[in-house]
Amino acid sequence: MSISTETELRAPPRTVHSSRELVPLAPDSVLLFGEGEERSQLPQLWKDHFQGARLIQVREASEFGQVSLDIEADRAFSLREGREIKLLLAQIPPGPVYLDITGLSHHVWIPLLRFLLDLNREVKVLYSEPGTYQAHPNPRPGEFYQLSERFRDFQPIPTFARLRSRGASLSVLIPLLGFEGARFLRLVEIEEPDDGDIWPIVGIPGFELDYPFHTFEGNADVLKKTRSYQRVDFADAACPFSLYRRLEIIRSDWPEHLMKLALIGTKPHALGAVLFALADPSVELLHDHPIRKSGRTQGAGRCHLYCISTFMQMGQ
Amino acid sequence: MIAPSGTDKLEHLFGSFRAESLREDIYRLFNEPKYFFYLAAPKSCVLIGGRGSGKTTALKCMTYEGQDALGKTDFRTPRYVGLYLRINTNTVASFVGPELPKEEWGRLFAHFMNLALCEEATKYVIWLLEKYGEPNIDQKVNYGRICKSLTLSIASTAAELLAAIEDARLDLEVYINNFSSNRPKISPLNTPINIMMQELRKLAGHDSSYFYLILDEYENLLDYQQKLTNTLVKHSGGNYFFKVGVRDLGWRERSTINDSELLISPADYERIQIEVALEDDFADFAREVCKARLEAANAENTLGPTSVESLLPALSVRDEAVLLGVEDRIFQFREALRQSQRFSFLNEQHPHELYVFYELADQNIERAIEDVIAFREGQKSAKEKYENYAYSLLFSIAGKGAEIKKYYCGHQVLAKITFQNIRFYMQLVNACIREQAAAGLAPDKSIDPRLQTLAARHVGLSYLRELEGVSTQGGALARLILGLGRVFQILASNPIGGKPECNQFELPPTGPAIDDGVHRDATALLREAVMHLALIRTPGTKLTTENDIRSWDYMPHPIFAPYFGFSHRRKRKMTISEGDLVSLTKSPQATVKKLLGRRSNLADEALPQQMSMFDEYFN
Repeated sequence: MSISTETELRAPPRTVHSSRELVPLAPDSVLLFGEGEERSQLPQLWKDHFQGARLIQVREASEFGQVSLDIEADRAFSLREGREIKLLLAQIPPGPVYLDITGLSHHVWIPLLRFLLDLNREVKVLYSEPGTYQAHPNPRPGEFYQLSERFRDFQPIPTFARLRSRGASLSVLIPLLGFEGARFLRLVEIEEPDDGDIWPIVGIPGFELDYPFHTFEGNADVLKKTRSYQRVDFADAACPFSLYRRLEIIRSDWPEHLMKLALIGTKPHALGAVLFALADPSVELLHDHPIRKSGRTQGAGRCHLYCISTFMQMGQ
Repeated sequence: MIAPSGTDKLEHLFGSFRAESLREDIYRLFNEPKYFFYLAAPKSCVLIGGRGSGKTTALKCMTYEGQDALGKTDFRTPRYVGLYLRINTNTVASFVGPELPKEEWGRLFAHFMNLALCEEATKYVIWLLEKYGEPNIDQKVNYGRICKSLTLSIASTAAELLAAIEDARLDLEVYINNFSSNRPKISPLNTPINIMMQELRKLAGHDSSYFYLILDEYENLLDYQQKLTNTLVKHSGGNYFFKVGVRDLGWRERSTINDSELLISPADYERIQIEVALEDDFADFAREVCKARLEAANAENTLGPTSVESLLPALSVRDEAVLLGVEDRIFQFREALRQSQRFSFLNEQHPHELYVFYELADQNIERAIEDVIAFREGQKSAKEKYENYAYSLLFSIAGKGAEIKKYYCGHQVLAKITFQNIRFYMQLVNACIREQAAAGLAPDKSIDPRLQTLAARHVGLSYLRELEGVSTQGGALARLILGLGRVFQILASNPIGGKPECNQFELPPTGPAIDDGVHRDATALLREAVMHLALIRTPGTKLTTENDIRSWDYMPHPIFAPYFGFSHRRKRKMTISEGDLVSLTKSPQATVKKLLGRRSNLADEALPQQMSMFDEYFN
């Protein structure tokens, strides 16, 4: 029985809170977090709750794919050295693990999530929406927000590299769209999918009422050029499980096709894509690792709590 | 009258200008370019061309699938067999990281290339077996030998070999995702490919066949990977060669793994630069490409225009001047001539001729009359004056605020604007068809010069916006073109007092000691700009070396000419320093003024209507 069938019978394992302070935290739990964004700052309540070794900051090293954790703060670990990272994570005190992805880059939180699940830890993911995005002072069509300084370019997320045969030529490209049309454009330039194989997903409902419209506007040129506006699908921008469900439907429509999921939209969507890739190792994840513009967002919006382990167990 | 589906059908055929939009139609609509003969010759070849130049289409049509679809080859005894591999950015970026030393990455990547190329060859064998249903085609092929060279478990059939290669690829994938897992056995560079090619010779009917290993998008390889793959190219020969597809300046490393061993043309490979190879014939080539599509449209009884010339009528310089309103500009001159009995006959001259000499004389009527008389009498200096300025003065006829200040129309002109890029050409034609439809006009009628110009502007703007996504430096490229476009647009609108049709630039040959950082930034910017068709480059007057940015002349790609309003023809150039080039991307207003020199006040002129969205950028 698929996970989605289960979720149709019960509510998806997520809760939404108007601020980080209001998230109920389990006793004897652990928090892994990064401070890459203003909204990822820890509230005092959390600092009081997660004491000592239960509060673990993840710091991204300058080398791609290298991190250090408070457990052994003096040393950088490669996220591609699975054994070493797992030994490190095994030192985390017992209890549920909250992985706060708000302030962590995709190429860090995704492999960490994978390792934690491999270690059979009970994992809950936290994510705070931005309060507002920095608007472009004089936007041209499709350019409402100034989000990225530039892009590092497409590079596999550690532990998710795929060496595809050209023979796997039946594929569908599923861009999880965000505001920045340049990212979708670059994706199409790099991957060169056949037009009919592009199946974009837009976050609807969005974090805010008007965000889906900005997503369409920002990506209009590429949607039009590839005629993929005819195949746009939708999933709640803040719900990884909705996205997962949508991907299951696409998989059932295209059972023989290789699925390529481009993480160029919201983090919850990226999380949903990762869960799907963990369940289906043939899936390829694509990400362009943007260098974020400082001050691109202000404040924090709602905080989401996703019970990942519960969700994964539902499928068994 | 065209049926409603006529426009749709034309749009589909002309709108599918990306190879990826065409799918299987790519072969049906293929027009063999003149350089294809050299491309398909038994020699390694490097095919250089930008996005949309037709490079991938030509390479794919060389593959066995392509040749089979084109019905050109009997694969029982093929002259050549093309095996295609596209270099994928995401894939090759897996082979980098601080976890392993460079040499080890090299070994792993070499093994990956061996697997990938041998896999393509194996698939060909399977395809051949299925196509002809003759199980003995490969009976002499020693699959065991191939497996051994690839360090695989033994296989005795093509299907088993393919499965073994798939397993080996998965083992490699597991390892590069987790170095704690077992390192797979890896094969040495080149040896398996040599052995594979030797064995393929034993296929029935293939003893004299050549195998072309086609590597497309070579620019996506990392530097060390280019060196490794160069080694494969260097050591090819016998019954197999490499056909490499790469963007201009995308081939960054010329040496093999032995730094002192370089790949040199023509000894090691034939170099074909598409823009150069098609320069003289591109208009004909584009015409043939369009003809195929027009015939396809007409074959479905959606009657359309019969030729691209009738679809896209041109304008002569004189006719264009009239359309732009030259009569209004010479009203006073004509009046003066009319009132003067002695010179009233000069009113017989074409209005554009009167305009040119009137402007060149700074609207001094007496001097203008002298020049017109000299021209009328056929004096050489007057004729040269007219020829030098007739075209450039077209840009100054229409008043400020006019919708059209210069027409870009006609098959030949539109072909020139694309700089031998067939994708741009198809885009232009498609945009013209759309403008025609939007104006409520039937597509079997000729498309008005005004609509063609609006279409050309649209395509230029569209590509300017696309530049932001073509590379990680995309934003800088777009700003560079905005800055250069503005400079050349101002110069075009004010031809008197400056160089007519100045639309190129060169870097100063020598100068004060240049900051390394600026030189590095300028070099990177120019490299990306050329690679992604923001700029085109032509050999300068100095001795040209590929990598010396100073030995080339540069111009914004002519596709931008209609949008900004400068000449698409390669004419005169100015000098721009490396520092100013970089500054154009950071402080455009000040740099534009600086580049205009003593005419810097012209930068205060209002932007053309079509550029109003960039008003904040320039002011």
